[in-house]
Amino acid sequence: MRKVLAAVLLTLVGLLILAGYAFQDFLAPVLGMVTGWGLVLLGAAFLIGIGYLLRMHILKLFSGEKKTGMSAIILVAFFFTLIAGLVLPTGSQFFSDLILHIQVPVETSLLAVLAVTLFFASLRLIRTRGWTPLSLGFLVSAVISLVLESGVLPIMPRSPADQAASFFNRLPLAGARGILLGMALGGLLVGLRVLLSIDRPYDEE
Amino acid sequence: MMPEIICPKCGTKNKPEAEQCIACRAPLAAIIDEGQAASEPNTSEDLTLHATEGQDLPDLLKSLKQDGEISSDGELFEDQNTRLRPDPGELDSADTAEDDLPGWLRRIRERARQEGDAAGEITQKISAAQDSLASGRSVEQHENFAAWIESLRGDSGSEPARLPAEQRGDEQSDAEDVEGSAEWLDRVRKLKGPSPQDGEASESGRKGDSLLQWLVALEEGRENLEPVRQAPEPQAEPTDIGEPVKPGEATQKIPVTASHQQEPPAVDASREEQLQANLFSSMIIDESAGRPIREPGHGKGSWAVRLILALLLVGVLSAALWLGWTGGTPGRETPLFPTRMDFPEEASLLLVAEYQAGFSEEIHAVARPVLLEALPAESQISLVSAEPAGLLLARDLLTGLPEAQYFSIIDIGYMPSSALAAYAVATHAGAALPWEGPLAALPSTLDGVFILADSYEGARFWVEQLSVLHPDVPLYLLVTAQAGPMLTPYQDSGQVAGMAAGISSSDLPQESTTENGLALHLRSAYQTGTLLLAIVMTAGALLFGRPKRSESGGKEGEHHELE
Repeated sequence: MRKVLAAVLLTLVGLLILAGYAFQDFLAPVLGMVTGWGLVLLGAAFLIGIGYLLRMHILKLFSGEKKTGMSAIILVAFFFTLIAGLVLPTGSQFFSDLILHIQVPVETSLLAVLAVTLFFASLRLIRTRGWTPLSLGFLVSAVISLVLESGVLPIMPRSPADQAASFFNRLPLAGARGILLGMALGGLLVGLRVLLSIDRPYDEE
Repeated sequence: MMPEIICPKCGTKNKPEAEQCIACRAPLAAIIDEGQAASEPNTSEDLTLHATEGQDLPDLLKSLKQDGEISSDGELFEDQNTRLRPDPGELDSADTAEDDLPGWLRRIRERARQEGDAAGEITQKISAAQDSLASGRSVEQHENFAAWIESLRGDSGSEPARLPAEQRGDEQSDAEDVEGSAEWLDRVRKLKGPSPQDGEASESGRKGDSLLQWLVALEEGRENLEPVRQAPEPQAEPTDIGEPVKPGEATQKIPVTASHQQEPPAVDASREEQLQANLFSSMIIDESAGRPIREPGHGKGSWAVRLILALLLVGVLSAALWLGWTGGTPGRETPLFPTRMDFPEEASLLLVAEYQAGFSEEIHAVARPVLLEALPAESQISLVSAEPAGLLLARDLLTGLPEAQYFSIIDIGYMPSSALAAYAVATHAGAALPWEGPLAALPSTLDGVFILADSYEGARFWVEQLSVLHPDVPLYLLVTAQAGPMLTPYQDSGQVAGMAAGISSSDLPQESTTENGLALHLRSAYQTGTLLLAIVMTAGALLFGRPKRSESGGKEGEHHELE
């Protein structure tokens, strides 16, 4: 009974959302209400996730285990940010600087490390694999993309070099179009299967 | 119908109720008891066999019946001279075949019937068996066959030698002839315990001991087409773990769970699918082939080389960042960003911040010159984001603009999902809702939407929802270089009015780029960094990569460790 109810509810909501594209003005109040419910549910799910994370770190901190310093730092940072966010207004420059002057350098450094790691991983791929078609293709495409992106080549407009550069620039676009078409068709099929209750992702255990 | 009993000693026919042979006085009671005991457990199977009387056996089974003999373990004996078991179907045609026999053979057989001593022992037994079966010839053909199968199963459940009932009776008589042997065998069994064969023989319900039985079960649909498995060892038989152990027993069984072998799942693949799978396997087999692990070889001066390389890279990047040279621009066929964006003086704009803090420098470098030129002084800008830090980053970007003090910034808030947020904003914009929701502060009309995204997924939902539900509102994408290729088709299709991807985007307003020193230096450092990466990658591939060698030849350990 529960499965049938869930399937009927999902089908009704899906058809309502689909109808909203055709009858936007007529269904706008209902759609706004439904999307509001969805946002509230998602927020509640995030809160549950945060609660589980806090519970895990608190249990780890008070269980007497070794090396619980990171858990303590996480808990202190979380509660400090939470209290500051609740007390200070949204547009507070102090709060904005406090967050951004920590988060931006940390995340940027992580991305820089990631870039260097990927670079050495590509070299390691070539070293371990040798010159296979895959490694050679990867190397050639990466070097061409990097050189073209750098803009150091003096390319005259409408020259053969310009046409070659345009050709190489179109290659990723062709791949992107193929991926997008595949995603669109796949999304359409998955949506139809869920709407028709052939696939029941909500029923998986 | 109970068939007549054949004396195991002399082969004389006796009545079913006879206790002794009328010719040699040999006891027949034991044979009767064993025959009844062997036939009782198979009652259900007999019913099954009788129920399928209307069904004919397949040709294979018939050919097995006619051309070969089936031993107790399912093996076929093709030698006709060693046949000891007559076939019912063959017996049916015995009368007609008898007429075709030559006269001398017919006379020999007739004499053998009349004079018991004229024929050998084997001939006597065959004749007795034929007579016994011929007596039941009035019964239907399949009934005879069923009785024979019944006797066969009875044999398989009682004695190791699995022969038809007639032959079995002969062997039983032999066994009883050596009663002395039976006695010593009983004593041995008492001392040593029952043998595994006894245990197997006691399993009256066991099936599939013969190929013929298996074929019969297969014809009736009771047997699946699975490979014949060996009989499990006694100690490996599955034992119920939950079986309670009796406390009073001197010896207790230890529950043992049988180790079932994991069989690979059966895959039903058509021939075409198999061909495609083989083709795919041949394509990737070389990539997934195992290769020897190469030991890292650190030279004495490797740390110095790495240090020099690192200093060189950092020095070149720093020089490019501070000195500020500008190279060319990547060639693109069509301009990605419009030269002018004509908004009204009090434009109502939506700014979507779908980027993380780590990409803020790149996004801000792309967006700042565009917003400087596009945003009117008294714009009403609504901020919305599905990234936790997105609102703070977007507000930081707007407050850094020279005309920020004149902007009217509306904070819509954080939404936990890009897809849901895009749909909610797209359906809410322009609609008069009778209730106050999270999007109540959103203006009813929008003059333009700026989407700042660090990835394709972050921008895709907004473009798809807004371009469908509000096709008249222009969309502008200000994204990172990594998101550019995947979002370019949206710009080519006209769903997006303008797009700037990455610092090196050639279509940024040139005046703003040159006037803003920070953007210029960032662009210089970015171009220098990408060029350095290309050079170092090529050099590393030439130095450390070598042509692929065969597995047998070449020394894999000669390669140097890069790190």
